[in-house]
Amino acid sequence: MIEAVANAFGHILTLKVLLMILAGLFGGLISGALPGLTATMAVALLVPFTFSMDPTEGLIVLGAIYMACIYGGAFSAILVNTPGTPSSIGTTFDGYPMAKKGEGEKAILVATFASVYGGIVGVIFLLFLSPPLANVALRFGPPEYFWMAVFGVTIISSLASKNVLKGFLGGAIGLLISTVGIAPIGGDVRFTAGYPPLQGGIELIVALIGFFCIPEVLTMVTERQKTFHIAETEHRKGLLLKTFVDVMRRQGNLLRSSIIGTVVGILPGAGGSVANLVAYNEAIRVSKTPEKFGTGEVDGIIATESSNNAVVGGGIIPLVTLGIPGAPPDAILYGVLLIHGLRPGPELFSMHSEIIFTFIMSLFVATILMLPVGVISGRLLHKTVVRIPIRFLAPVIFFLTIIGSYAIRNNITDVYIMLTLGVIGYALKRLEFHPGPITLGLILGPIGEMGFVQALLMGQMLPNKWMIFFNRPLSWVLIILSLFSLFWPLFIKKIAKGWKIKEM
Amino acid sequence: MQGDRAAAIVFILVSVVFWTQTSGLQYNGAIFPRAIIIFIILLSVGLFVQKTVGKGEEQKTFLPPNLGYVLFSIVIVALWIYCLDILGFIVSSILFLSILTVVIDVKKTSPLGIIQVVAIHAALVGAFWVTFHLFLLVPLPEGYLI
Amino acid sequence: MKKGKWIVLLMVLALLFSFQTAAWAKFPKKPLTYVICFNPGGESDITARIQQKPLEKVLGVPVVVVYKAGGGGAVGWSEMMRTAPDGYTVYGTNLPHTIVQPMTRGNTGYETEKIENVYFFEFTPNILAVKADSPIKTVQDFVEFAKKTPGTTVGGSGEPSANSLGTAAFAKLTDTKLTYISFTGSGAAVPALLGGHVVALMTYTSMAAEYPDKIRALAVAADKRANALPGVPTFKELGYDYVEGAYRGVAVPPGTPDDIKKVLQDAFAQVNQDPGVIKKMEDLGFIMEDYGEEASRALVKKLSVYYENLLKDLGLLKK
Repeated sequence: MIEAVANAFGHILTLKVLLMILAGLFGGLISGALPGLTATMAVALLVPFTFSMDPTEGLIVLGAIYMACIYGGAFSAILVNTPGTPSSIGTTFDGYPMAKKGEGEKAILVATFASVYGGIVGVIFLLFLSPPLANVALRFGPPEYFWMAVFGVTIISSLASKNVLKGFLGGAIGLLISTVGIAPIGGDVRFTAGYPPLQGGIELIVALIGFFCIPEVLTMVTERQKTFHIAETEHRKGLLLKTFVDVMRRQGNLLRSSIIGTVVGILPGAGGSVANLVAYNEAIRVSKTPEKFGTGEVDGIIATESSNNAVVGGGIIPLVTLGIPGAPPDAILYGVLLIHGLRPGPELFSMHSEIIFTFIMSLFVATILMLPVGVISGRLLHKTVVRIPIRFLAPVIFFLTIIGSYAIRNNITDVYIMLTLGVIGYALKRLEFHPGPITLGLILGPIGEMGFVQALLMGQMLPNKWMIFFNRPLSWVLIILSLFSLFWPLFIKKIAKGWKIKEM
Repeated sequence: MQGDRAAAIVFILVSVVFWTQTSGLQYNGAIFPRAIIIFIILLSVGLFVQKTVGKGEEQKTFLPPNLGYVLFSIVIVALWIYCLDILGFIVSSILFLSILTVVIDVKKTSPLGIIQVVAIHAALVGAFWVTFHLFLLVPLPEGYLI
Repeated sequence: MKKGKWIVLLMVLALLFSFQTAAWAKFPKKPLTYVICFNPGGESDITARIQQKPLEKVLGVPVVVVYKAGGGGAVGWSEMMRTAPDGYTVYGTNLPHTIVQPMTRGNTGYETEKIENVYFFEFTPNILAVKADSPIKTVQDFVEFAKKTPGTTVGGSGEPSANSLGTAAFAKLTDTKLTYISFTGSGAAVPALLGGHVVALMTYTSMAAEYPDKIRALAVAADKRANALPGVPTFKELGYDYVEGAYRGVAVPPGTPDDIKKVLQDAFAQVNQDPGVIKKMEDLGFIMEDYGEEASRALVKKLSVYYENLLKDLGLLKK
């Protein structure tokens, strides 16, 4: 093992490879920061460029892009309240309020440190614990995916602590929107009103851009200020060090969120979008000051950004051990491996161990390099965005939303959908319906529905098909987690009230 | 109060519309949406009741200040998307970016200012086009003009 | 502001330079767009990537792969109906999807007859597969198991698809009651099998080629054995008259001129003879095919009749 690692580093620490990693990091950062360009797309776009390289180098570049892309999503989440990738949805909850308070730079630094930490944890799990973890992933069948979706929905009760009803309504609306298109089982065409382009359903990114970004831009327009954000934070020297210390103090959060990210990443079909919200939920749960979340709490950003970067390492675990992609960008890496004749699976470790070790080590190096790259670009970006007058910023953001929603599926319908959802989102925002639960419903809908209907079909082999949901131990773990997650916040509130009365 | 209760009613109506659309579907395709619809209707009723019976909290007004600017922006962007197919990506973007910038400005823009605005946006759109369309070969909307 | 003006001027010039026109070259003279109607990383993506570089060599222009997933391919194919028929955008097509979707769904946005297939380059037959350590070792074992356990779960990719219709046809043939569970792609069906959530898979040969030590292919639904799986008998050899699978090809929007279609057909045919391409495809379990434009039309006609009857038998035809 030591020899392999040393060999791998030998390959990586050359000028050529380091430059390639840096190029990949920059590219990934930019595509992550642009809402509409997802990690999956960025990786897919650059695959042809890798054809002329040897497989190891190609994988290294793609890995760097992937890692940086997930991190880059935090930039737009913090600066303009739009998750650059679905993995950064939770970062908007606390990142954006921090930016509005004039702490945007601090938020970006927190996101950077957390992302690097999470990325490293994910890679460490990948390196040392791949085989046993991968087998756990296989135990997740349709019933478990259904209960996982239910668990995801119960998170809403923590996210929407102010008005739980509105939160769940938002979630339900998201769930309903997710059913537009072709039914996962049976292939029925649903809710398309006879308009063929809707057969593809509502794409998540399009909805994200619509629900998060458009309301913000429209608010910018109504407030008619000259510039955006309270730019008058003098650049404090030593912010870097101070923030670093502050973040590192919170080891519990960092470690827990990273593990959550790794585990969720291992499950095929669930990726950063689910991980960051689950980690956020857990951070609220254990926090001594849960009411601070959503107003600009550092722990919030730490939870979301470390978990989503841990997903990178986690998702690669089933890819290299079982040949099953753990997260969507891994499907592309899978394709790349196949095209180069490298079959994922145990063969990869035995016959091509050099390539795999080099790849994994390169992820390590890329993540560490992300730190200086992120800090520098982040600060630069923050300084620039904060200075641009709104009369330019707002239209340009509209411009980016159009490009972003078009680029997903090359479909002009998506751009119209984005605008429509944006207007609806703005109206809902005025009514104090937070976009978070809605997007949660949108993400979990397909997972939940597919799991539900598939499980029912599985149940055909049992005397009572509904028993399929209750006769597996792993399902029960998730059921208990869901009940806990649903009632804990309400329980805590009651206890807090109880204490107050006692004290009086 | 009003806004929330109106919203609840809207949700119920929309749900009913969706329900009617589920009539032609097979069991497997209909079961999930129907469950969700029932969920929405229950929650909406709950919301309505909560806001009717509950204490009188502060309610943000639904209509924003400067409503005109908001509506204008929405209409302009919709028009912009429509023109992408006709005038093409570059022309429509430069045109509508400039219109938005000039209108949103807090102070009035002079004619020279307008030219500056158009030039800046032309440069921006051009840079985007070169990077994304030519270099990375990302598909961008195409129209009859460019 | 001086500096700003210069930058603007430079940008505008750069813009003008990029408007290159070459009005005299013949087709193709600008990049070709190859649209995959499924998600990246899937089998259609992989075959396209294998073809990409050789295609660029043959056609002499860059080939850009883009994705337009949705509706099991329907979103992409319905868009193809409205795309400019200038030959610069080709769409990957699949059979039986493009035949059975309009038959079972109603308004898919396209009609089977309107799709102008230019070339079909490969065929992936169905295989019946179980876990490598399953007690089921032959098709006979499976049929006996299925007779004892009505509702035996068989996973596959998509619905309606070659997997789902094949399962139904096989169930009818063997007089068993099988429950087909559709997954979003073969890549999602395999973990379900490996995790023991379904008893068997009706999937494609490519899965057996990609996971040789994890899944056991019981039989192949083709006329002859697959090169990548020499030890796997065909259903016909075992006495079951069952042939089913998916064809993969490319098509162009309706109204594309004949000479352009010929150029594309010949290009894909040439790429299909490339030994490097053949090796990569066959290693992955794909069976090379060679249907030119005419042959494609005949194939679609023949299969349409077959599927219409099959769907009628199963009661899945949309009135």
